[in-house]
Amino acid sequence: MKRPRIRFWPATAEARRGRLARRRECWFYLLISPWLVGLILFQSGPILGALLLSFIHWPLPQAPRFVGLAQLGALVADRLFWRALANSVYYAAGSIAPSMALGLALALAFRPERRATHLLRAVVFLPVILPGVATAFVWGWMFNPRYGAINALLAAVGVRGPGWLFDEAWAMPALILMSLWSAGSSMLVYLAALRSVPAELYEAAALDGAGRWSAFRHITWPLLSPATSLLLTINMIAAMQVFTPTYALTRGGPNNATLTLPLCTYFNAFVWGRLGYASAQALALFALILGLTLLQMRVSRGKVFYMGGEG
Amino acid sequence: MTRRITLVWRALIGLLLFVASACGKPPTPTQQVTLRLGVALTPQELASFQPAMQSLGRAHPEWKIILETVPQQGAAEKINAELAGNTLPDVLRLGGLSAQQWIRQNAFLDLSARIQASALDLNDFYSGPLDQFRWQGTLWGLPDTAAPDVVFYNKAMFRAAGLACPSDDWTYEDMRRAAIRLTLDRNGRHAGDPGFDPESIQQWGWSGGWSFFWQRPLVQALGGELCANDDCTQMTFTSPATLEAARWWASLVAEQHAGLYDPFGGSQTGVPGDAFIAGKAAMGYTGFFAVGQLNEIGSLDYDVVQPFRGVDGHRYTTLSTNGYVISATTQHPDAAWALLQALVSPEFLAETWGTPGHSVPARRSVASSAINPAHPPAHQQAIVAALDYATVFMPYTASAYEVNTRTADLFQKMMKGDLSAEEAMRQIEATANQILARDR
Amino acid sequence: MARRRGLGRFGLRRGARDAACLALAVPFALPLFWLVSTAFRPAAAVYASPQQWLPGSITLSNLREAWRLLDFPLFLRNSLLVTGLTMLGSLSSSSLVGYAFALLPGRGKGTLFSLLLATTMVPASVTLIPVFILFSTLGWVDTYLPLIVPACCGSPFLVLIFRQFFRALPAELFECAELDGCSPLAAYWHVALPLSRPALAMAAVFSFAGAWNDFLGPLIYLNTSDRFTLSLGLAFFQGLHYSQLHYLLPLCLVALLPVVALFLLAQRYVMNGILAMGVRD
Repeated sequence: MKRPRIRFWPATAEARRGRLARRRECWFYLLISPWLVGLILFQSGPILGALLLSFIHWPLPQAPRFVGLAQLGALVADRLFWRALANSVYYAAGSIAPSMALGLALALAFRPERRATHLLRAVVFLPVILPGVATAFVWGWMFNPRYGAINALLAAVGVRGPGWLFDEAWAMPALILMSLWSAGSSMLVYLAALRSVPAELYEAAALDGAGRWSAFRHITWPLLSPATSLLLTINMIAAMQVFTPTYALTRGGPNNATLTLPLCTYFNAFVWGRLGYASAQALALFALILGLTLLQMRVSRGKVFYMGGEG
Repeated sequence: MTRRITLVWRALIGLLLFVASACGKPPTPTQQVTLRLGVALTPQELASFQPAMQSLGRAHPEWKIILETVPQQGAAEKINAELAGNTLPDVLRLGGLSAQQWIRQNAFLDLSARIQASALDLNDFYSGPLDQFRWQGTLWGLPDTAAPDVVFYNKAMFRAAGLACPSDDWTYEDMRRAAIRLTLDRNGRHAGDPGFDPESIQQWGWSGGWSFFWQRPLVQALGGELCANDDCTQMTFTSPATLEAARWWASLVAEQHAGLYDPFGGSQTGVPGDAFIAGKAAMGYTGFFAVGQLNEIGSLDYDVVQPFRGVDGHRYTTLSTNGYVISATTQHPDAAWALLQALVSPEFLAETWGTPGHSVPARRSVASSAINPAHPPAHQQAIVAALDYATVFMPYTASAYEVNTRTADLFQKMMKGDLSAEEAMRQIEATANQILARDR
Repeated sequence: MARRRGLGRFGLRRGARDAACLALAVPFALPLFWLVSTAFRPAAAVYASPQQWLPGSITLSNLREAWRLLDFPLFLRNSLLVTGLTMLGSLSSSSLVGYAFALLPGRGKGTLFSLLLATTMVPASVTLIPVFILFSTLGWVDTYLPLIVPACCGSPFLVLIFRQFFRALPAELFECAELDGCSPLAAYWHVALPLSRPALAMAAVFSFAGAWNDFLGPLIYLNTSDRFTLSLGLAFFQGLHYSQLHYLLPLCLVALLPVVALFLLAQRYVMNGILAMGVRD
């Protein structure tokens, strides 16, 4: 049974030009005006300024000087920049999919609305809202190679745990593992999305004799595809901009193993006094995230199924 | 009729009282200057500082002092933002190491003329802290407190090894001998023992080696020198004397295993942070803040001595300092200068910093106020004595931090023995001079 | 007839399933466990190495002392005020904008949406100072305005969430509203919003948590200490050389409580909505 498309968006160009459609367009601009006003007033100036600063060499206290693409060119030759870029991509590649999958599993497990599941959801969500100042202590001890919980659990199954945050090769995997604890936010999004899956579909499937896995594959997963696509986008942007764990726990160490691009940009801007260079790095990061996001949206375009039809 | 007279009497009495009260008040100043004072203090330091500010305010009714506090972790961001947005406080208390980068941005007032015109005795200030605020031959701020690095040692570990504790006469060779005896493996064998197992070290003799770029005194004490010019924007790592020093430290750590190649990271000790404070090393250079931290934890039996004598008989060590600057955009430079003088006056320093034990005043006349025999360490005079010759961390310009980040792995490789001292020094020198060129 | 429960009705016994759920949640409880276990130890035990899993002795004195060292009751009130206002502004504007993007036509809608996404891709470290200059020119420094007003203009992530949620709603509902002569705004108020309880609850939690833990904003914009928020107050225990963990950790625990309370309230809000609508779980 094909569901009719949402008719707020007219099907033909002719209909679009109709008075009703024009009226709806006016409403569109009216309703997004809070965001537009904020964009114009508070965001456009600073963002454009920050990105344009990458074409200016401004070694405080000397006067600024326009240098065009020279700074961006300097980026290409900078060993530390490429290390930071590689680290950022490494983190993103390793952390997005597992934490989303875990979030989905948690959402399915804690789907029933009972007091007990509410409490368990709060427990799972808690690492997401842990104040940044506590991060260093809690995670530092969890990942401590000699006395921490992680290696203790590994030892219980007979595996000798690595040096984690103290070991150049294992520091980034430690951060990626840490990102699994933030699966609570993906869980929350999936929980909200699961609300909109009608129960009748499951009943119909059961009557047809479908098993649990089949129901998941043919009902739940397709209907969750909008949420999955949304989470992919959000998590990709967030993972490429990860800052708090690297700042609070490792400061980019050991030996720049966890120096991500946002952290490198921060150091350049606030510690090393190179504002123009920091902006050049920000521009590079922006371009990278934009490219990855466009790629992700193109790949998922054909795969997202909306219950109300394509909007 | 009587009622009217009572009314008039009442009015007269009221008027008299009013006039009397007005005469009783001190004349309010015609213009009260509002001064913003920006500080970055811990809550304990604030507990001493806020009352001191209030009494300062009472003593000077012509000022309205607004205290703006900032957490130490966010101070750099705050100052950078305020500098860019032109909202810096009138008087600012700065951590010394970051002072130079803002001084060189002309963010503060040149104080030399005012100092000369005032009754301030510059000789009462230790020269090391003063250097932190010097640029182009003039002073851009005045230090209030300073904390030199001295040798902290673990008395229990020395007792257990049967060794004599360090004294003010020790040299680096004395330290080396003791450190080897104090480095113990799992079986209790020390590093000089033939059966010593370097893979299972439980305790190290010396907390460190030459593991990052700012440890200039470690090289000076062994006869070398890193800075090739006055503000250290040109450095040399490959002179013969410096190479000799590098090899000395590399052999202590890489060959004898008596020092740590990762003294703060935690990969060897299993805990992050200073290895001595964590109880994993018998000796190490640390600053005055460690006294407060160790006394708070209370589990370490420790004492201090002055930094060891170098090959030329002199002592070399670093210090960190804090001080006050006046913003270049202040509307009230004279009042700000008066406030600054009050904040670095000997009485204020002794009362607010020395006696409560937060920090050592940077003035000779009151430096000993920080000594408190009621709590360890026993030999606190060593800390005050070290202020005489301690120097600030150099280089101290903004790009020095970047050099540190870029060369951290080279130092560690050298201390581990993965890279020869010559090769490491060559690469570090090239990186350092290329990046520091920005600040020349 | 056996009670249906989503996937669970396909054969798992209730006890085994609950045990599995509990096992899944245990690793996530570890950070909370460490926090609670360490927050009430005496100072020496907090810095000990190795850290014991369970505290030897329990003491509340660290929490009491820390609470007194700075004016934390005031910081708590300030945080509640700022975060509450931020959350309300953020929710109302983001849901409105998300609704518009989801269901209304507009020329250049795709471009605008890409622009929305693009604003989230610029690292905060380079926009921090330009934004500060903007707000200090407006004279908003040392007020809560720079923290609250941008939130009232819609938060991109929340807009994304609401947009996706509204797009997933069935079309018939809005068609009925339109036939009844509702303007899109009225449809938003009467149809979309009541249906979006799950999204509202989730967005409330995210925006509250984000604003509650925001440190950089209050740091840069607030000068007077009686305006400080809780997150800023906590940071005072992080010194240059070491952090006063024995004070910091109990305070972090206290700081967590309002967010957790909101989370549980939001869950209940969703549950009540479902029961009221009669949708079977």
